[in-house]
Amino acid sequence: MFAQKRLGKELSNIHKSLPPGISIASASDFSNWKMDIQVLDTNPLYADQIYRLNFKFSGSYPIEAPEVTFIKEDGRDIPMHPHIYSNGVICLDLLGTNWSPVQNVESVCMSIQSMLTSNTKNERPPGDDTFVRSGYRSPRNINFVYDDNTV
Amino acid sequence: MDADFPDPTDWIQTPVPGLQALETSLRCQVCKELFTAPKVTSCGHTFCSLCIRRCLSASSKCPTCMKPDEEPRLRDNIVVSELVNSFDTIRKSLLETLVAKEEARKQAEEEAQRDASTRPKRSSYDLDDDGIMEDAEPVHRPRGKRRRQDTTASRQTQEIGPPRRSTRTSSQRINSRIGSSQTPVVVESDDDDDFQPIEEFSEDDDFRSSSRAKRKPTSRVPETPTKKPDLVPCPICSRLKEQSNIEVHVDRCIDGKRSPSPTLGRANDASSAGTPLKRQPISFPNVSKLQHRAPYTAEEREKLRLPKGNASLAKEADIRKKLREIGIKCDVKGKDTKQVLWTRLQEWTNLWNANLDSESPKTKPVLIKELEAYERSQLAQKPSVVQNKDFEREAWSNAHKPGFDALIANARKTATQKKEDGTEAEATDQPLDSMAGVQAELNGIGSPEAIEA
Repeated sequence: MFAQKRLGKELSNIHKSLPPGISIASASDFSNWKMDIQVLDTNPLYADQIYRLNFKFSGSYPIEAPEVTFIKEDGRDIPMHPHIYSNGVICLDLLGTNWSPVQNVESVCMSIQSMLTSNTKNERPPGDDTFVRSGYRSPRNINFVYDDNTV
Repeated sequence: MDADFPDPTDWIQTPVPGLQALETSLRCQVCKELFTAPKVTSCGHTFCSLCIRRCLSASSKCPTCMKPDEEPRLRDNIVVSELVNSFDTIRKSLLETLVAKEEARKQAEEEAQRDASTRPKRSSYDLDDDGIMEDAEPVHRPRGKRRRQDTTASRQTQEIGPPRRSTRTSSQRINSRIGSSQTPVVVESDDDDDFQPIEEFSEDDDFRSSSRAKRKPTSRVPETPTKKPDLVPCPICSRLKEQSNIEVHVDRCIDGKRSPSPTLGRANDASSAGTPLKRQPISFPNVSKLQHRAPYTAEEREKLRLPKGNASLAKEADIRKKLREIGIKCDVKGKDTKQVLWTRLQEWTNLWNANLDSESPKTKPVLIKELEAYERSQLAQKPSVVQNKDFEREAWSNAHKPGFDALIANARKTATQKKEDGTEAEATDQPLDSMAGVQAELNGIGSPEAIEA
């Protein structure tokens, strides 16, 4: 009810205008949206690549953060980044402890976009293998330690 | 999905796109609606009463700047509330007017292009006509027989005003039109009922009267002197009185016998603190009354803000009792846990307190319905129990202990079997895989048993 109203507003806004490099892939209901993002500068890691983000909203959105992960779909891959696990889970304080209800889908996309843009390391986070094998299906159960302020 | 939501971006298509920024700042950043009962935090950010209460019960931080804040420190933002009210009343007509104007302008431009190709001497003719030529609307002015009568757009513009008027003139017209349409003439029937512009600041007064005063504060100010031309302000209490009655009134004022107006609030008293003669002399019985206040009447209790309480100090039975007293159902589907009951009480507190801030408060049964609807919407979208943030791990692992134990025992059995006859390697592949799966599942949940096993 509360979440749906707010998402409806965001959606009508998104249909009207979006910042460059961000587009909507699908939003057929108010619980799951897919957004395509693209890095616009000439970062060799992500040049000419489009990545797909999956947003999962709970009933308490925007009080509670949405679950945001990268997904492999339609030939879209998971970007290489020291804070993005190979199963698509993103370690970003904005999506965890630093979430604030004034954020929205657009601002989250832009944050992730700039997180990719500023990255220069072609690597996965330490312990990526064990993490992916441990079978976390939802980022919500993970207690990330946000230790790196450089990226 | 495709419902029409009023949105700040509506203004982009109008001749005044700057209104987008204005409307954005009149909207709550949490729910993206126009503020309802706006509250300002101690860091100076404004949100809807209900939104900020919900945010602060989730985490005690301002959603915008992340500075720590608490509910009791919230204050009413009266100016914003007035701004939103007046903006909301004109929004629709303003948007329609501006959109019609823009459409008319576009049509006029098209017409101008067509005109220009057929009649190149048009501009000099226009200048001869009245000497004034507006840049924005070069063609859409009455030009005798050549004027188009058939388009709806031009008809709409005619209603608003002559189409060649500049934006400022027409917006003034809109204002005056709206002003006149929504300004009922306030005739003060009671001779002693005086003009009180401060009335709206007394927040604890009757909601209805204060909200009415908020809606039309501007209309009352200029209206009063013209309606009663022979009014004179009393030198003592500065109320407007008829000239013939002023002396009698002043006498009464000095004596302090004048009965206080029923609508006078605390705020009004405080504001006129510089006129001590108006005040009743303080007597001792009054002081003792203040010290031992009588218990709240039922009516007063209806207007009390509820306290937040503390989750770890509250007992489950107390929460249950409180909810029952309010009339909220407990244990609808089986026994509710303390966590669920506490969340319900918190949400009720938020709804209740926000409702008191509202200008048009709802009744209790409506609020209870709202609470139930809110809980249902929360439940409906929970993707899975295990993924829930406040998922109770211990309860879950206890409830499923037999299943987990059986799986672990099974895995141990196959492992020892494998040791006994190492030749049958292919048979053990399957159970080992399943054990790994179980381990992963348990790790994901963080069950204490899993670590031991």
